[in-house]
Amino acid sequence: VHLDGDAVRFVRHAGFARDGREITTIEGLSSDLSHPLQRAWIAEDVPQCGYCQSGQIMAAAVLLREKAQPSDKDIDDCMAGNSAAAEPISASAGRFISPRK
Amino acid sequence: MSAVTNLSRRGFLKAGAIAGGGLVLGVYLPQLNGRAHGAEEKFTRFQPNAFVRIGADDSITVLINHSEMGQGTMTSLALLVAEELDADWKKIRAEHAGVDPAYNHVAFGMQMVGGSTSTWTEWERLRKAGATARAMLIEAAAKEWNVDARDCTAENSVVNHAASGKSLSFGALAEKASHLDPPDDVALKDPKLFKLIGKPTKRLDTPEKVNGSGVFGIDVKVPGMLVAVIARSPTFGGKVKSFNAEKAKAISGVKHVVQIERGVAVVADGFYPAKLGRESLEITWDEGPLATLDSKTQGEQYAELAKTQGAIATKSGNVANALASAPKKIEAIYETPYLAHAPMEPMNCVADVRADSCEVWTGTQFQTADRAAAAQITGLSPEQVNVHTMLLGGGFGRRAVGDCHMVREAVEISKAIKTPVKVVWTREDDTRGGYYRPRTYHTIAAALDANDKPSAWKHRIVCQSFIVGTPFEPFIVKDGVDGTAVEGAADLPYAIPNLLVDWQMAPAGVPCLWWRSVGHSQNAFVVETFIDELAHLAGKDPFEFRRALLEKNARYKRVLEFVADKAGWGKPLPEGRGRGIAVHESFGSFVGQVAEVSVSPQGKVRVHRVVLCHRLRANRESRRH
Repeated sequence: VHLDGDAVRFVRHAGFARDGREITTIEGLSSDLSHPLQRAWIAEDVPQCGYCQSGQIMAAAVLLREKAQPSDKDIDDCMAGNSAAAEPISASAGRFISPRK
Repeated sequence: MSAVTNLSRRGFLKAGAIAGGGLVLGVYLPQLNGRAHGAEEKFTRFQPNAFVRIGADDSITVLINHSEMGQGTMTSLALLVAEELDADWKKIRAEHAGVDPAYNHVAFGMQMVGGSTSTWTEWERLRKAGATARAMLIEAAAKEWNVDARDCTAENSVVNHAASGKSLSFGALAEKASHLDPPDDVALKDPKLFKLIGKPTKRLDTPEKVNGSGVFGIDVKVPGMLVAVIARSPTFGGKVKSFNAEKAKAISGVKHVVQIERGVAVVADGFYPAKLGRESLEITWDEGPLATLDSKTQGEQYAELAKTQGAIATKSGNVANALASAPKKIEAIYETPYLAHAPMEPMNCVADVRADSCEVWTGTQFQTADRAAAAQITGLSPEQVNVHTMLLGGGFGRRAVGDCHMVREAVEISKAIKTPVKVVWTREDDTRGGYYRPRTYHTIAAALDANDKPSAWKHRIVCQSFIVGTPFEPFIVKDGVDGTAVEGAADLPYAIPNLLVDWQMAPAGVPCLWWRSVGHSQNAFVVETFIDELAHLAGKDPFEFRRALLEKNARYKRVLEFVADKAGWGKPLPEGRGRGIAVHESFGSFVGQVAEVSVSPQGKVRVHRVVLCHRLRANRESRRH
């Protein structure tokens, strides 16, 4: 999730839900799958079981907001820790970024 | 084996005629995420069989009887139906089926998913389901236009009559088609005419997995639901002797503390108080016979068992003589540990037990058994139990549980407290909770003849069986050998004249289960590593050494040659880098891999590149070729 705009692992920050800070979940990204990351994820057929995808996408969304042209290393660093299917996920993040170069 | 059960021929599920004609499922699926499908007053859809529904609005729903756990069944199975239906792929959606014998696995006779079987076992049945619906839609159109059905064609969810230029969409024909009897048999397409199968297709389940709308078991919420966390025995097979719940009950939010078969459940208005409650329980355990089990002693026991021959899985020639007389020999011992499946979504199950019904929501690979278990605990008939299959956040076999312990726990608790309950396992609960891949101990010996050709191969496997003593035993245990223990070893592809593979069953105790590719997952490692040792002993290239032994295994050989070629086998590599090759078949799929690796002076292995060739067992046609 995004906590006051920063990507965090909700399981470690669940307590903040009570103190008036702003939390954005995957549902807040777009209502119609129009967010560029959602489009990239669909274009690359990223999810398998899909359980971790909300976390993956929310982490990538903050990275791209902070750094419009991240390097491969930036992407790998940002996405580390959200498990599974790392390769196509980094590839999708890359695909999203490359047309803007 | 692939007959489609047609609705009009038997009372399928809770089907019944409703106003406006048509047959629909009764209220069956959970009111989740705006996806309810209740019976309505007017005609809503045409459902010629258990697998496809067509709405008056042109929507097409394919019912998926092999749970979606990432392997793509919601897309691959929907493709089989859509292809023969000549449907517009954009109109197709997929949803998990309820539980009914009509959805039983055609090979296993139960509703379940596993064994890499979903596509090839449904290849004929689901195509027939689509073709049946198509034939009925065409017949409906022919009747409407008063023309011969043979002059009508279907394409992209529309039936056309070329001579008159008339056309009607599937949705417009759905109600009329619902009054017709399904044909006794239908012709299937020549695969050369496929428009969808074999073509690149986007997964149907991606949108719901990138906007948070996909509902996994752990996402399920039902009104009034409480959350349970269970204290289970710290030893495998232990039981509760006595417990004191006073401190747990004093925690704010804790509603009930209930003893169940597998432990003590703390039920609260949320996960966190339930977990706190569990930490406050004081339990005395009867730790059972495995209380003193340890890895070292068990390893010694396995090594002792490996000294004598077990049940023979495969045998040819005379291994003992060949080994005794061989000029060159090599022996090795391989050990693999217990492994947890560790699916990303923690184990969970929601149950709502009422006087005359039981609803279960869970990501399961084994609906038939889960329903039977819930019926047994509640005293209800299986028909009074609804198992709602949710998306699985990984399965890998961990959610195909013959003893149904995840469902049993939730049903027992809900029955006791008369309230819907969600049982949540922490990740630690899952990791230490058993149901692992069995630990294995292998002794293996092989010999080369005077021409450096393999003359003998003797492989003994020691491990527990999670099949012996279960209903699966008659299907999987043959001549005293558990097939899951020796698969990938007993079916050695390499031509070696004197061969012996046998299995020693280790004592039961630690709960074990099918883990990913099951026996193949360790046996492929042992066999492919040891054949490399043998190639090294012969002083031969590991690719050429294998290839010479695969003359009678054409598909193995092709995969091996293909991957070697693509990886540039034999071409120069940077200093310090080497290549390794392996090939294996499991569940009808063939995999070849070449890895480029280096080892640092500190002994750290680095993988630089892996080239993989995968020949899937997709369908009958590809198996023939």
